[in-house]
Amino acid sequence: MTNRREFVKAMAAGALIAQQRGAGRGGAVSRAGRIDVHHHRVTGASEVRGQAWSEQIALEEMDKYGITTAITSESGPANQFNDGTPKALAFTRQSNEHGAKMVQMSPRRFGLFIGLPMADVDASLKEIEYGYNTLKADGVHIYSSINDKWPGDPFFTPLHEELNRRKAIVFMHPTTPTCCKTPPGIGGPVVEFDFDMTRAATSLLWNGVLTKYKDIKFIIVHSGGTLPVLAGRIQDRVPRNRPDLYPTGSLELLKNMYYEVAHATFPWAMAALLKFTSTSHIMFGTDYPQEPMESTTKHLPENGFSAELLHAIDRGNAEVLFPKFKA
Amino acid sequence: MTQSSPREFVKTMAAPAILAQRGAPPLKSSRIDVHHHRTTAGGGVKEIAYGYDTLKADGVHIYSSIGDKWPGDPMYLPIYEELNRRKAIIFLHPTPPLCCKLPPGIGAPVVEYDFDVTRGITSLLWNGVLSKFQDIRFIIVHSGGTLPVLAGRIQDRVPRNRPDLYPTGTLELLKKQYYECAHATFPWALAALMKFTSTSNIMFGTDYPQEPIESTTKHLPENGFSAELLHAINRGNAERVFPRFSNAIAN
Repeated sequence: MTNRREFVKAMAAGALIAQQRGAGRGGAVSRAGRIDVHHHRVTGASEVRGQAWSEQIALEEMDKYGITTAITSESGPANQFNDGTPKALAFTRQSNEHGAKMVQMSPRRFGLFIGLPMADVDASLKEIEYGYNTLKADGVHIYSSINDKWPGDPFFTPLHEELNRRKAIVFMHPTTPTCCKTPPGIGGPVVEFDFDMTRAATSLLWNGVLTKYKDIKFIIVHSGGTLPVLAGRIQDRVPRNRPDLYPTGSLELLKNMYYEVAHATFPWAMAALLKFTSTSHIMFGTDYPQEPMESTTKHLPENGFSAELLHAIDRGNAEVLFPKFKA
Repeated sequence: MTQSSPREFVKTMAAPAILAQRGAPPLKSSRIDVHHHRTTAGGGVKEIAYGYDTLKADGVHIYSSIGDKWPGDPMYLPIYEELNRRKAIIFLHPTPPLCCKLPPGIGAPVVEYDFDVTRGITSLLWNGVLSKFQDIRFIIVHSGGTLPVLAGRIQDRVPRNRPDLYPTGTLELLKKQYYECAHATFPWALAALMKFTSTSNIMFGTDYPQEPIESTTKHLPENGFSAELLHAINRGNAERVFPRFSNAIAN
């Protein structure tokens, strides 16, 4: 934070604009603006992809797109958290405290997903305790792969146990996986991010995490990426000799997760998601500042959704998951 | 090729055949299966002339990746030039890619096949194959796998400094391809495909014998499609792409 006073002023102004907008639009459904569950804070840097970033700039963008609250997760690449070094532990703590400070300064406008140094399970358990008890985290941010492992790996079982005990909301974000070589010139964000999210979900499924730890609520990004369209094919491939892992069927377990729509409000992506999961499991997100907010907002109206459904996506469903942001 | 009658199969260079099913179909006409495997393999660059001129192939079967390369790799450009000249139909089928290490216990057919098909198509896109060789028609399997849902995100990531590769826009190049629905007639998969491409670009396929035919047929009715749309998917669209089968039922 470069200038605390300016930041506070911007927060107050943003809140006021959001309030006025809500009042201006009238009607019970639009009293408060969107809740963005896929929104990145930038720790230890002041730009992303050549664009300046600060808390104040983030608030201005949120105001422009009618976003009242953003629940932040770190913008940095997964290895900043996951390379297992003391530097990663220090960065995790720095990022989480930065996110907590944003909440402290404007509790209505920001929420907090804490990151975990996943390569070190003991340190991750400590960070969960610190994050929930001291920083008052709203949930946990994990990556689709952690070095050469996916999140369902038995290596992470103590984390799943603890997160289940806390009924945690786990925001699962993609990263460029170390598993895979991509076609020349076609970087991880083109399609591999979404592939790795689906690998992560299958890893949770194959290892029984979705069955054993049912109090964890997972949020899957980008309208589920490739998961909804592949869910039927996945269901037909789960190991037939492990019915204990899918007592209610693998489809139910996948449908039961939560999905946010950042950069995936294209009608074909939303059509698959709406056929797949319940309308109560779809939430708004932007992936800002990695992605311009407009990438999400400009295609949402192309879907012809009712005002009720739009409200549920924009904030209603997130209010149920994060009751402290209820209007 | 293990066919009993030449009429029953589309001949391709490597694997798939089109089967005009006899027996009693649920609709007034029978299906054309554009994703049907025979057990022999073959093919290669020099096979094109032999396959088309001597074997009278209906199209060409390629894989989503070839060793450490994807099909858009510049080394294959001479093949596309020739296939474009012949206005070929290319059936693009997945394979376990060499690129990737998978989560323990989760084999390639679970999700990596579909991923590799999308990698294959992005490779064609990034290397200009889809824009330079517009007379080639590609058939993409499994309702496009992950391609339709990712098309918007792909469009927003194509290199901004190569507008020559996407003169009419990326989405148009992807939407104009053909899609077959083997083991992907689940309502969520077809909902995405229907929103993405034209109803005239969707064809029936089964992936038999890799997949029981029922994996495809049992979910098709869950979509609530009209009889016209079902007919278009079952055979109408394939008849236009493979006109020699357009009167198969009468024979």
